[in-house]
Amino acid sequence: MRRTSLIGVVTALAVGLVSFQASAKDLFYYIGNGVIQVIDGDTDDIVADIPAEGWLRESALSPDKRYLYVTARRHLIHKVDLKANKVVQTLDVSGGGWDRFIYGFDVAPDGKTAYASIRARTTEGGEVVVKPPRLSQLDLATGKVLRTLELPWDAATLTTVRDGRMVYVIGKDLYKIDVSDDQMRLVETYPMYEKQMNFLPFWNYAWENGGVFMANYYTPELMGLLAIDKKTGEIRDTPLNGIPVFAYSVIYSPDKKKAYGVMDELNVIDLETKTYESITVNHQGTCYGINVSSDGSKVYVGGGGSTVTVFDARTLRPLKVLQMATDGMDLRRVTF
Amino acid sequence: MSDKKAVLKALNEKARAIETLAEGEEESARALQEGPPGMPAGCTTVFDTGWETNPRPTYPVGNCQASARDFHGCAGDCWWPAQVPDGLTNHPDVDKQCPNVARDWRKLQYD
Amino acid sequence: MSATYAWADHRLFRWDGEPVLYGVDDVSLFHLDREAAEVLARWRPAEPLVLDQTPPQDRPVLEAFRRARLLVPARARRPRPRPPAGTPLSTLVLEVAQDCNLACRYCYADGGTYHGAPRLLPPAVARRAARYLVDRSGSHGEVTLVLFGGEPLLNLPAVRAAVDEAETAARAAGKRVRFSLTTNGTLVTEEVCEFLHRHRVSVSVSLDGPPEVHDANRPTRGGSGSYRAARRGLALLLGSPRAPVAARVTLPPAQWDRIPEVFDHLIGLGVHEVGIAPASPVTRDLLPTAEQEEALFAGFSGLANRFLAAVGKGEVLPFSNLLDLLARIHLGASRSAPCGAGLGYLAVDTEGRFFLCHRLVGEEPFRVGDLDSGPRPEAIRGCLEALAAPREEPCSRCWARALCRGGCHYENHLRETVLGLPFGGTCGFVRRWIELGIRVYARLCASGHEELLGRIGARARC
Repeated sequence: MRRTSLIGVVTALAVGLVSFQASAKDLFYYIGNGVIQVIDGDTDDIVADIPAEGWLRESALSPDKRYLYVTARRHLIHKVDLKANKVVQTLDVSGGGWDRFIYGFDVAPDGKTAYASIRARTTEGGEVVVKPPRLSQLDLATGKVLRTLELPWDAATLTTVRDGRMVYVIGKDLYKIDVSDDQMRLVETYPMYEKQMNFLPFWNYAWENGGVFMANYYTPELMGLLAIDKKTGEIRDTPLNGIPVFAYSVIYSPDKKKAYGVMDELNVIDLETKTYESITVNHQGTCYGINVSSDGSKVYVGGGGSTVTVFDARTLRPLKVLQMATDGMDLRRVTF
Repeated sequence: MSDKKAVLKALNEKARAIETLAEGEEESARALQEGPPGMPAGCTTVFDTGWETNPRPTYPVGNCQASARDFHGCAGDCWWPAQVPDGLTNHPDVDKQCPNVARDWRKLQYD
Repeated sequence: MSATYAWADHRLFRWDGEPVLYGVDDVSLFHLDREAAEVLARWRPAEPLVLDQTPPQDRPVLEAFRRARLLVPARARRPRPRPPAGTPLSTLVLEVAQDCNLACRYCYADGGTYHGAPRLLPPAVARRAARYLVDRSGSHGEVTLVLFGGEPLLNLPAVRAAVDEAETAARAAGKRVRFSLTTNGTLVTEEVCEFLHRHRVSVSVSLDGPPEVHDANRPTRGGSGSYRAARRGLALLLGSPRAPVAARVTLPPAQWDRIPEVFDHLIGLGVHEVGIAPASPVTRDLLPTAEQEEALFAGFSGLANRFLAAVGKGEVLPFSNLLDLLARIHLGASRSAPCGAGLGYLAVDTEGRFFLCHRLVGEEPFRVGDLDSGPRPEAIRGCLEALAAPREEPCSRCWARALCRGGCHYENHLRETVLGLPFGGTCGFVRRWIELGIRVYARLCASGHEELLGRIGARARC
């Protein structure tokens, strides 16, 4: 009896291992215009189109990887069911006479609420009235605003950290907001402006980077990488040596020994020496988004124009160019 | 092409290049006349949103990329509202008209 | 849609009854069939013309002219091409020795010195200049270093230094460097030959033909002829099959009637190509008479006819002047300047100073910087504009403008500024020469030699 069950356990383990390996699957989500296209990371073919109204911007993943939330036209939030490959709900933050614009969005670790930095505009007596941006916590089921906090005028991109106890909002400086109490409070400012850091962290790939929000910034002298550990809230600044490259977006290799950046070229950054290792022309032209396969063997660049180019991460030769239905903004990877 | 008379024969490379260019221009002009939406007469046969360049002595050195690949990123968020449709206020549907600039530029209608 | 059209500036040539149309600004060449020639004759005086109001029977032909850019929108006026400024270097001429062991009678460089005391380029300056060329060549994958003088072989240490430094710098930059050297041939030794061949230096030897012609033009400092010494040097250079050797001929007007025998003599010596330059009128006695100018054209024209005859037998007569002209006609590149001077092409003298071109070395108004501070773009632009200004209007009326662009800067400076001659002294010859080139080109097309023309055209690309 014991022996049988032991064999049973071993078999189950083995089957589990095999099936785990077989099911470790990368799907890439191309964030386009009016559509999200799904690329199978095994074959690099487009396997599904998910219609989603509007020009799409930020994306955030639910903790159980079931739903991808994607903002559109800066005021819609689509909830995309990644099993059914369809939009199952759309929230609109505009209304009540106010146009609202989302410039930062992240789902809270509870998966039930989200934080957004939202600026609002209306017209009164023929005059435009614009309100300072606010950090808003939204109920994802109803779209109801649970609470808000006025932010500095420059506040935009945001990320939740420390298991949802804090939200970091990024503008000219980085604002640490304590959201653990009923009343959200700005508790600390991490200075960037006085350090002449110019930062556009729209592309930050927190979940692909294993929970590290990371993007490149520029000073008059150099390019650096600013990384935020979502778990601990720690901020790590890595100035790079050498003449800076131009990159919209940067992502880590899975082993974090390298980083890849893209704009007009695919740049490889050696994180041990903090130098640029290589610069490879992407013949398709300018790209906004970048991603890496979960085994590190392939680099994907795309968006901007309507192409995705798959590079061999080792040789930096293009393996495939996919023609997408629309121009795009980003490319996200979800590994199931 | 069959209605064209071959009364001139190009002799040097420049003359051949001019003939090739003329064929390309006529194809583009025909494309404009096909199906709705009709383009107003006198409209340009060439779509060029401009070029993005790098004036600094850094990578990409001497860069000159078609700004078409930066069109939607600029339009939706209103980065350069003078050059592209302003997607926040006046043209929130810019992506519907022209989801793929390289393919759909003929459908762009904004001022 | 009733656009009005006008005829683009063009010139109609007719040879053996066959009409060939030359687009003056495009440098385009079209053969016309009979119908096209008739329609052109009928409609040429009628402008501006409204295309869609022309009779239906003529319209397809007129449309063909429009597609060929020979009929252009009436109000379109093409701006004169402006030379770009601040272009990266592609060719640098080093004045390796401002000194010479010969005393050629027509020398524009005052016995090779370019005025002043004889002097040599220090090897250290040669190295700096060579490196400068590679460093400032921008995106060019290939650059050319010209070793010039005076007589460059008077200063072998600088020749070696320049070649070594250019090769080192080019290797580091992943570029290719071509070398060329112009010599009078009298100082060539086996050691020199070995060096030139090893570094693939292409060599031009200044040779003026048979001994009595050559020696009359190119005596040594002591007054004896240099033919024998030059020929000895040439024989050494031709001993290796690896690098072609060109003969560079300069003839004063009194010898222009001897072009055929000069050409044949040099080919007989085994040179691979012969280029013939009329001597610049550095003194007034070198200004030609009308008869002499006629003899020059007759000489060139005779060689062109021999070129055509040779092609018929499957041979190419290596007459550089004609090959270069045919190459330019083949590509049809419309020039913005007569040459590359100041536009990627500069000369450096023995003191490390930049001049607009090798022939203008030592002429203060054309000094445009030095190796310490680099070429001054505004000085280059100023020189080019000053040189172009007096010819802008007359050239705009000349059908040969796109292939000529005003002619040699030095020659113009010499004639107009130094000698005070009126503008245009060489224009008649230049137009006849270009017309001859177009005629040869059209003949070669008509006889099915497009492939040969393609090969000749490759000359203008490099």
